[in-house]
Amino acid sequence: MTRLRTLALCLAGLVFATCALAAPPLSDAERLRDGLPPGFRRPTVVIYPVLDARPLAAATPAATSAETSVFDAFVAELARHENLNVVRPGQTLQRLRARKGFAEVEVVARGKADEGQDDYKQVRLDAAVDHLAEAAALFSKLEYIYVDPRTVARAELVRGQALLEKGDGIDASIAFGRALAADPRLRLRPNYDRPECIEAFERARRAAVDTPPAPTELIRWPTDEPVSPDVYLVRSRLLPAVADRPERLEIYVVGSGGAVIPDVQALATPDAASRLAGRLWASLPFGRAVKDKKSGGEVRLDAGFAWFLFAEDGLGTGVFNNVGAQSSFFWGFARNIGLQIAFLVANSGRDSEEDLRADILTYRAFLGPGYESRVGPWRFDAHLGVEVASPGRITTTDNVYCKHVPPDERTIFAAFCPQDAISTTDRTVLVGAGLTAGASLDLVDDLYLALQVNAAEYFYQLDTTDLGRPVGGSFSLGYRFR
Amino acid sequence: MSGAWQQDCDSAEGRCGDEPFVYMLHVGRYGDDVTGLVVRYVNEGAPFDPRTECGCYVMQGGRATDTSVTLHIKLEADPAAPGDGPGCPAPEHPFASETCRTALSAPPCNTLRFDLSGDEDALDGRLTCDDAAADVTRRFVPARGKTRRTCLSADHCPNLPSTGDTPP
Repeated sequence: MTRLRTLALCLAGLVFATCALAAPPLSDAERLRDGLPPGFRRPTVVIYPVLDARPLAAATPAATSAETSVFDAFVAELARHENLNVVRPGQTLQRLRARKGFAEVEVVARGKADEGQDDYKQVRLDAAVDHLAEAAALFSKLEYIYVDPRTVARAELVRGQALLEKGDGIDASIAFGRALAADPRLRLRPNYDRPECIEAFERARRAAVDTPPAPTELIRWPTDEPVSPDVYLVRSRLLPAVADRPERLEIYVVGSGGAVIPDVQALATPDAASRLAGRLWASLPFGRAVKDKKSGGEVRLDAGFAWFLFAEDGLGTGVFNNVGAQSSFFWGFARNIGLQIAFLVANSGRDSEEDLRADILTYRAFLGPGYESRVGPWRFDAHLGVEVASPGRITTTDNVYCKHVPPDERTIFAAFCPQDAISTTDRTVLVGAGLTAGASLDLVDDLYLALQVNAAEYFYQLDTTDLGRPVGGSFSLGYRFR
Repeated sequence: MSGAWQQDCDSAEGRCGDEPFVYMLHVGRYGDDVTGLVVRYVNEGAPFDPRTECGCYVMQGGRATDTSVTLHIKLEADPAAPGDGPGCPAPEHPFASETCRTALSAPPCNTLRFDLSGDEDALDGRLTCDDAAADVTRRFVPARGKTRRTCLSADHCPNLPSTGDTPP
């Protein structure tokens, strides 16, 4: 028990030392001031063109677009932070068009939209609704509202008119709302469009001003956008002033994992763009330095629990567990090539027959080069090298009476436990080849969790022992030094 | 299975009232092997009173499964196997009973075999003296106290019949 307690204390000390040796973290501002290291991996912030919903408030909006200087200033302010890779709205449109299959789907979507509008003109209302609904779904998939908002608005408007003529006022209202979200200056023409359509459309417009539609389109991660933990989509819209709220810029930051950060900034506030950009910058990850793999030099230290058993058991006791602590040191001295030094101390349990009469304290040390590779937050490694082990004193017997009665209590019936019934070998030293393979997962900052399996084959014994071929594993917490 | 077991004299199933001796088993199980001590008491007065102890024997040939245990003890000392045979009771009570002295000097058989089965609450079975089965079953139940692992040495047993000697 005392030995196990000592092992536990050693392990706790190793973990504490690992954490204590970590340098205190710098603030993001300090890191920016000090300059970013070469190869710094910057989070990519994809900023979509702003949807200006302010014309919704006017019954007859101006023909030309309102200025969006606050949004432009917001983008410029955000791009000023060197740790972010800001994709500006113009580049975002190119990015959308560059997605795989965009052109093909665009042709189909526009074709469906044209077909639906022809159906409406020919008063084939069911066909019109179906074709325009298909077009709307494809436009949504393409995020076409940012590419050609007028086409999306026109398709939704006609779909709303067709639904209304079919008597489906509720779905018509939703379609009008989607049309207005795409083109807030869209209006129906008196003396040309049907009065009941104009009335329903105006109701939808007023409702959109008072209560902007739920932003489902603004918070989803597009199916065609590759998933990446380093990419964030920023969609925004300018909302009109209503009774109790001033004009404001609303943004939604979407991560590939589904995280959404909403924020809103009143335009009348001094430095509105700067404030919003500052808050967004503070809420985004700072980015991380990526080690130049060609130069190597990464050092890692971990400590944790270890377990193994001797697969080669010449004692005749059957396998028994050995549990203890392990500490490993890794030095990545070249691209994908590293050196591992590991030290393990373990105490044995007992075999099922309890032939083993005393715990075996075993020390193992490993030194070997190996291959390492990274896949996202995962690192995989395998090392082959030299292992030196030293199993402690081994006492075994298969005499059941010897097992049961302590030596000092064998004052009578000593014949039941003759001296040669107990076998003892002293501590020895074994040298051989060791193999380790493991995986580790980055947690936060430079902390990581490691799982490793190991095995060894011994070729040299200082004194003869019946133990060999240890096979086991370890579970550790580590810290990466740069 | 490991631990101390004593013959059940309190319940109707135990039925040790008519027996001249009662037994306590101090069992150690190691895998399928069983060892330990069998301590015999004269069945007089309070059962398992240390003053009525009449022989302490090492279990031999013990085997166990999850539900059974078999073992035997040698009641008769064997000159060819030193250490075999009975151990010794407490020195201040050296086999005072005539029943005990007779049993030690003229054992009813060479080996006494225990074939018991049951669970952690009770072990039932027969005691076989050499090849003749006893006509009553015995029940053993868990006993309180530590498992005894040794008998006293012969130095403490001035009245113990030495191996091969004629009993007084």
